[in-house]
Amino acid sequence: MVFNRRSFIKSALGGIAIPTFYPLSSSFAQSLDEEWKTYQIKTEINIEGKEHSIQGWLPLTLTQNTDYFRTLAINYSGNTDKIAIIQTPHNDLRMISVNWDKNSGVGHFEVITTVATRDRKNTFEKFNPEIKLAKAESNYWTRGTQMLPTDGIVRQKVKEILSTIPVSSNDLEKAKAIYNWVVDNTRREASTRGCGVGDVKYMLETNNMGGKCADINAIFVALARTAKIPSRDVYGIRIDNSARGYKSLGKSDDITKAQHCRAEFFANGYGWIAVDPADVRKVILEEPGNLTINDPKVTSIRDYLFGNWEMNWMAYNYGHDVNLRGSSLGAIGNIPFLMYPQAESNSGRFDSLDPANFKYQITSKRLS
Amino acid sequence: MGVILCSHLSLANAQWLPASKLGLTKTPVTNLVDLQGKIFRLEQYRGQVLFVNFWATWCEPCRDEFKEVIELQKKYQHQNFVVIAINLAESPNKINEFFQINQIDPKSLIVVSDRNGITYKTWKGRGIPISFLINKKGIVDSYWLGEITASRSEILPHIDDLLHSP
Repeated sequence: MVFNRRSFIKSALGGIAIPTFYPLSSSFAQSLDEEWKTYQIKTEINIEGKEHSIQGWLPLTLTQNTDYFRTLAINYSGNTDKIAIIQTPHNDLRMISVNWDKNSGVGHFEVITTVATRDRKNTFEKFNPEIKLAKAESNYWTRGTQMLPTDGIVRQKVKEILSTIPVSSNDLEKAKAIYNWVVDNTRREASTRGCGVGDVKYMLETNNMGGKCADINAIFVALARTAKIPSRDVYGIRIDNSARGYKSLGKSDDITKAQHCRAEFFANGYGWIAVDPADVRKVILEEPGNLTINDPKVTSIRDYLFGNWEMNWMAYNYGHDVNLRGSSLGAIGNIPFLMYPQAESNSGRFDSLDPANFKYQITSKRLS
Repeated sequence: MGVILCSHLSLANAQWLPASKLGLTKTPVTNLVDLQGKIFRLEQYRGQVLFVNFWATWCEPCRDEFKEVIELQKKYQHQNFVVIAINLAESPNKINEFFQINQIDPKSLIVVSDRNGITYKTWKGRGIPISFLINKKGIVDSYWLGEITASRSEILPHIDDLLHSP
């Protein structure tokens, strides 16, 4: 979907239709039960005058609503020359692309997203044999990617991990073994820039298992996929403080640097199951008290984050090896994931991890 | 561009390794711009030993080693040796701010910008800081992953070997 300059001259206003299981209306938010919370997230970019022929890309929220996350509205405005909503063929990602053909002053664009979230809980009590993934879906979510291969050293590592559990173990048990291995063998590295890279092969080959969420959760996803368990990273951003007593696991108001990647896997009989080994490592590093792996605060969050997510967090997408459509760099300019605003001009790509110079700001406000 | 690993390899383990270990068998074409916007071509330095260093201001070991890299250039400045510091994916403002804060003369070595991070990818870097040595024939010889110190005994002999080779 592309809107050109004839449609939006100088002051572009717009919204997009949200595919939803419910009618989008003002009464919708009121019909959400008490478990649901609503938020408004604003992403604003301002690019100053010296650059020319600027193109920007902003991640949008999940292409489909779920039972823990719903997009209620997406509205945008700015002085752009062109806007396009781009969705990948497998619906794992959608983004908004904007162009300023000539920049006379400040290029401004903002996206305001209204979402509803409720905590994701799974006690694994109800097994339903009807819950299975279609073969095409299963193949897609067990595929290797450039950063997450499913052969070589990754395959070798999976064999080692699964050799510690009975051969008859089901997917849930295998995923739990992989989750535990990732929690035990990785560490959060404070000096890693942004959320990390997710170069799983490099981490395993060098045995340098330090990183941040995009590294640690990518290891889980790569190992699970290699074990033929459909799995995916879920890239997003923290939008509220944690109500569960973990200061390091939340952020509110200015969330410009609060991006966070989670992960999930599909277990036959149960569906998609939430995990977040990266946040277990974050608690170990950042909660006060020099926590050890056996600290009660750590064992508690470790148990919780296999199957559950506190939904003080907004989900963007599941995309890997992301092509920024229209980029002058072509395929070589692909990025491992889209979790930050991106832009380029005739001078080159902007640093997406330098919001102060880019410039962009992301804020969150709880509505109910 | 995607984010990059900042390498905190122990100095005790760092060493010059053959570039072929990274899968690098020839010197990537490297045409960039310097901080004044002038075009830089690596090819024009053939005949000299080149020390190509990838760095960024956000990378702590890169910041720590920057003055060491300048020392390396000073040490070999009359010996057909050129240091090229390639900044990874940052704006000129950010780079100049780093020089100002750290009282570094930006003319003390050649600083160019790989704003898109594409050049870094072609050099098959797996973290920064990473430095490459190119011999006088223009062939990439070896790489050092991690921080450099100009006085370190493991660093200089290999540079001396390349300087003494035809």
